[in-house]
Amino acid sequence: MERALNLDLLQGALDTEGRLPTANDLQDLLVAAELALFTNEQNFDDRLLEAAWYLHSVATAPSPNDQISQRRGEAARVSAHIFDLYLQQAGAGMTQAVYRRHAIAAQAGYLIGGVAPNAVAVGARNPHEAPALADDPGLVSLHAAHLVLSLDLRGVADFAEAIAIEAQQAGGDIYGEIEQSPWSAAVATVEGIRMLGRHLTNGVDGDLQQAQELLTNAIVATFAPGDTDSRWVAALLSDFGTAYAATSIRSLVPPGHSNVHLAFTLGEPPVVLLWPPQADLLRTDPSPFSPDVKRIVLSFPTSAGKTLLAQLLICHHLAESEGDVCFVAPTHSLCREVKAALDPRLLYLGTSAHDAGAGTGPDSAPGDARVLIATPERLGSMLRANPTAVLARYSMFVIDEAHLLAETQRGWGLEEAITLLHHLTRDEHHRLVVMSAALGNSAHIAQWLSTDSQPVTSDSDWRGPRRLQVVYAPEPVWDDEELIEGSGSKQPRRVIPITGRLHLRPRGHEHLAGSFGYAGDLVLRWSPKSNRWTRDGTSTTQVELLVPMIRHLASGTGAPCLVVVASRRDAKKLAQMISDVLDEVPGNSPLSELVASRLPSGHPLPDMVRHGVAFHHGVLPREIQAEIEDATRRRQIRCLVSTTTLTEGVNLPFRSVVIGTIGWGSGDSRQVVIDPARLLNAFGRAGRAGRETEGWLFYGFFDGRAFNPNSDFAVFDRSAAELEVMSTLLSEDAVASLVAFEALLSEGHDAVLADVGFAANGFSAYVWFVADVLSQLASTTPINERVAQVLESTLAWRQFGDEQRDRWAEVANRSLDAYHASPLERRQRWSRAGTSLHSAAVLEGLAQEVRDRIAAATSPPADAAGWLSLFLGGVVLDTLIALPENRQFRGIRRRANASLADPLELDYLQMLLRWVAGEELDTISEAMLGEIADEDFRADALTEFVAAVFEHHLPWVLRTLISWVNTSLPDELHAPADLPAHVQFGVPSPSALELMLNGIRSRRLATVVGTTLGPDEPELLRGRLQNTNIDDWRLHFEAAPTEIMDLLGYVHDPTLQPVAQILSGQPIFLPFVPLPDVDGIDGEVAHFAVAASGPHPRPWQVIVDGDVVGATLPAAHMYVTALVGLGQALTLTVDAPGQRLIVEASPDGPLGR
Amino acid sequence: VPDITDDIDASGEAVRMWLDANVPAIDGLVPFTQSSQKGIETVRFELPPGQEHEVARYTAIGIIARRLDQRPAAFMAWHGHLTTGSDLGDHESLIDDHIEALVGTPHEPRPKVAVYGMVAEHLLWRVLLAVDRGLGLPLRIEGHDWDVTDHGGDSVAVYSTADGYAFRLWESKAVTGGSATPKKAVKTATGQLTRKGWEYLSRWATVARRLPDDELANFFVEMPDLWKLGDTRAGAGIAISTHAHKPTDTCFEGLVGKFSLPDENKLGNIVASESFSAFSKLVRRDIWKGAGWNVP
Repeated sequence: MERALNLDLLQGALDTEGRLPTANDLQDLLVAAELALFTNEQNFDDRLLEAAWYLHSVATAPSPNDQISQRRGEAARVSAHIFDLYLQQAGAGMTQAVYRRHAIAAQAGYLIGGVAPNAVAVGARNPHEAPALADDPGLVSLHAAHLVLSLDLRGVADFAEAIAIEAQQAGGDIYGEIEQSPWSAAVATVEGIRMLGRHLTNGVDGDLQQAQELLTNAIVATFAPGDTDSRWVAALLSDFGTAYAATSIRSLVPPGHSNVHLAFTLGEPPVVLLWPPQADLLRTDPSPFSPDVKRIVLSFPTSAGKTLLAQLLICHHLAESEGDVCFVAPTHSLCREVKAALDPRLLYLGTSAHDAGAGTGPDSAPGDARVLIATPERLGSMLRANPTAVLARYSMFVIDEAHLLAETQRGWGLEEAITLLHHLTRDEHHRLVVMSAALGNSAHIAQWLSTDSQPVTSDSDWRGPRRLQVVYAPEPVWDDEELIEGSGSKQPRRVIPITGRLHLRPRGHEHLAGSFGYAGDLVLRWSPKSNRWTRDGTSTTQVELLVPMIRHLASGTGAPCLVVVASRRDAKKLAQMISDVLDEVPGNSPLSELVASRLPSGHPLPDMVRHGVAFHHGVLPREIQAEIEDATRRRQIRCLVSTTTLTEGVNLPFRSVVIGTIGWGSGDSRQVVIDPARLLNAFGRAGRAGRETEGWLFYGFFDGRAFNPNSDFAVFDRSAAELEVMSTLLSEDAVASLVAFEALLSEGHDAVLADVGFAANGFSAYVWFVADVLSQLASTTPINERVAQVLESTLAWRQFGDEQRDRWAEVANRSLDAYHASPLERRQRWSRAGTSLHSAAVLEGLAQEVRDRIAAATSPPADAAGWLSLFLGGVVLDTLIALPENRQFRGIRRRANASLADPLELDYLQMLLRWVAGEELDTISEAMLGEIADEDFRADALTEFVAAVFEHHLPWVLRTLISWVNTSLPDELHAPADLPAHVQFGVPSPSALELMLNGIRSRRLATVVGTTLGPDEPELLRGRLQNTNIDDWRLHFEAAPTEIMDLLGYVHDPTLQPVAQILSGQPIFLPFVPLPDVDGIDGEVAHFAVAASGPHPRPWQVIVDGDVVGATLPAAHMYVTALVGLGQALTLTVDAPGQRLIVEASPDGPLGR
Repeated sequence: VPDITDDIDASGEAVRMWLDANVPAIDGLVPFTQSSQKGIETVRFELPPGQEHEVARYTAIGIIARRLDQRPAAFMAWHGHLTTGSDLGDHESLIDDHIEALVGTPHEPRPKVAVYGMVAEHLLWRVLLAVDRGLGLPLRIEGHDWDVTDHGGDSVAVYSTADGYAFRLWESKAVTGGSATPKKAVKTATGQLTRKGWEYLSRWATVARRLPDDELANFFVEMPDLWKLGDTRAGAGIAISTHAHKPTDTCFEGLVGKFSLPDENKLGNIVASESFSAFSKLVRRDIWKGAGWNVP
């Protein structure tokens, strides 16, 4: 296991005498229990529980000095671990009281042991119904304690309120004075816990004192000595407030911005305590919150809380400074996720995040959104277009997953952007936060980014969930082999069954192994030619051998399992195999139908989804990616087979991660595509902090030799050297590219404008771009000298040897020569293209051709289709598709196994026009790819083509082409700037495009809504939709639940007063529609409730005295959701004449009374 | 005996004094014998035939007295109704709620096993308060009232001796089924104490360290260590309530060598009646009767 027990401390905690297991025995028992949990064996060794309760008593003992504190910490973590395993194995058969006692003991242990996320994760499991005092007062206290130790302070407030009401009623009916009743210990405990929650939220010392008094009363329990559960939890929690004060948000985030505190203590999900590495960083001097700290480098493993730290820094920056924040994340999936995680916090600051991804929409965020989320490519595009504007608006840049600096295809783009930002803001107020889970050389990166002072750095290996490392090594059972005699021309064969063997990494000396039994067959065939037995093609394949284990994972724990493979092909193949052996998931049919409606028929995904299985890779349509990710979060997908697109930071709730394949080929031609950093990140997906207490890592071992426990577990170990982030200009590919450049040069060719591979292409273009940017900034220093200064600021320059530096300097010189030799307009144009100089030259030729066509046309086209035909006719589209930047697509094969040397010949323009007309993929597939007989392969080929070309490459180059064409044409002949967006989203009308640019993910929905409500009046669309309602959308647009949520987001009325206003004590006014026959409600106190029946999502209703009196408008749906989720107790008063609600913060403050 | 008309008595002292004055100690009510089963010191109380009703009534009174000791007037109302049929007055609702939680109602009684467990646990308490097993009478008995079916540590009795404090952790069992035997029950209870004793002591240690009596609190905190080390101050006992005909002569011999404790620190209690289940039902009948409920 990853986190080894500290045997010395544990032995100290257990003590050497007595009748408990020794530390070594305990360790072995724990490993056996872990394995039993995995194999679903139901036998929990009593000795573990005995030790756990003993260690619990050690953990909860007072500690007068550090030594004992360490002992307590180890005792706490181990006891929590044991209770946690026990609950997972036997929890289902426990009474509620017994379950909660063990859960509380586990949670307390995790908190005392400094692993707070695990306490939260224990709380997230098996939610029980809230008990009542009349049922069992002890159970009431256990429930409240379980909530507070889960850090669910809103849950505590709601439950305490219910108990207070019950106690109040009982006071009249039963006990007279509740404080002197047998319920008194429970009532005092619950109230004490509620005050504790208030203290952690608001930081008021009076609340803490009151909590401690109440809990002390409960412990003494004068009137309820038999309520041992209440007394126990009161005792357990009596010093909770003071013990954790030092790690609370309140104590670690600078005072002065109470809304920043509330954004975390109340925002979803609430964060009360920070984890050790987070707290350590925030306590550093100088503080990372200080505006003087310009650079921060965070190297945290996944699940150590770097995302939350980024959120804290962002929110504090927004509150403290006028500048906005640009957050850079590498994938669309992660961009979506970052926005979803940030918005609930930004609500408290009266702002929001805008996900620009890599889309073709506007470069900057809308005015009210102070956080822009972009891919590195998008940031690069913004910097090329107008670096001054970027730096004027954004004063903090957060670069997530920074180890991608070393990624072959995209690393240089990221290095370009960081280098320029760093260079231009070295003496400015701008702040740069660089984060990664896989920076083996964080000190070196920090040095790279140093200004007049060193960056604040944090390098931690702490993580919450434990991780179990398991090697899955299928082994032939030679004793059971069966000989099949040959007959006729058939040679004899030997069939050897293979058993799926699991090897659990030892934490100490003991290596445990278990087996699934039969996993497949090894078939050997006699070869008379070579006179030996050779492997037969009917043997179970490597990927097939994984299926039994993955089936077990996917059907066992209830938590989704991620399988990472090297290629899209493996992903699809393995997902299909797993789907074939799993039962259908009840309730997945609507999701399956939704996915089917967005893919060509014959596509395998809908059927897999029905079985709770899916595959995911970079060239799946974005809307499908998003649906799969959301379904995984909802746990509708229990096994997701993915390429590494999903391993870069996406925070999906996987408990186990299986590395299926890491490359392809064999022998010398073997190509490993999952490198150490990717492997580390993939493993990092297992066991999400706060959701799981442990993650299981599985590595498929198919070496053909016997597994060696002494050496083969090393696959889980990543050394700092392996994780060193090196500039892509140092890679072998880059050297090859450099050699190609130099060869062309020596032959007298114009190497700068040639396609010589991504590295030299990218480097030349960067030099050109930097020269152009610097030429616009006043300076007396010659351009070449200033360009050289920027190049010296690259990571590559720091890492080059002298010879490499000289050779790349020569490339720079050649690029600068070409730059200076070019006319001013071309310098600027090419600088902003974002392509290689080679492609820029190609584009320039195409632009001239298109310009001539437009000039020759009798009149400008009337719609997007007309413009596309005019622009992309002839060789233009084929040329654009053939540009080296179109890395993801190299043609469509005729058959699944056919060579790309002879791809299918297609009329790409026709295909594009059908796409932009909003045609279903099914229709396009039948019309354009009928030559491919295999329906499954045809569907897959089309979706991959659409994603790679229409959704990614083409819009990007088309945008450049349009801007170049338009510059020398009169305004009336200008092509519409939103043409690339039509291509990206595949919708025909301006209205449909308006929807796609504003959060609608389904092109089907956008097309039908646009067509129904006025295709050419996008400016009126929002108003028209606001005048309809959710039922209309279901009826007329056949909108699925996720589509309705998208539409609710679109119709949201931005003129509504900021929800955050309520926190400053000001009322807000919310329009609502009273029911026609309702009167006499003016001045009445109301509350919101979701409609009691009907399909989800349901509208918000306004309730007075238990009766529905009206509803809010769809335009306010998200607003009301935000209000209700604010965690602030509200008072709603009906203003009937004004047809509005007056919403105010309750005088009781956050979390009620 | 104080004025028992007080509605609330936070200390519960009034009811306890009333109980001392009006309910005979169990050793004065039921004859008992002491013996040693392979070194395990054992006491056996056997209800004389024909005396079950009297003992059942005192048992019912004892159970309700513990339950309502902070509400003396309500207790007296219940007792009055049981013994004289007097009016329950304003206390009826409170009494109903307590008794329903304890034994259910005649129409919806709590499971028999809960009633037997409750009676057995109360008898253990009475025996602990009556019989000196060499440590004197207990200074304090800690236990829980809410769910007597929880296993593994029903009570812990703390004694003050010349050498300081000592404790005995008790588990009680009602043995009533046809095939059930005291010997099997002792074996089961031994297993439960082995497993759950740690939990009981650990949780008590957490509570006790915050109690106002520092000396006693320190001892409670020390209990898990004493239990682990098999210290002479630690001990365990098993109490069996059963039918008189069930064999108990050797039932505690299985305790020999258990818990890594000296055998002299292990105790056995037996309370036998002709039919313990019938006796328990008599107790329940009196509890209901005092609440004014018609008993079928």
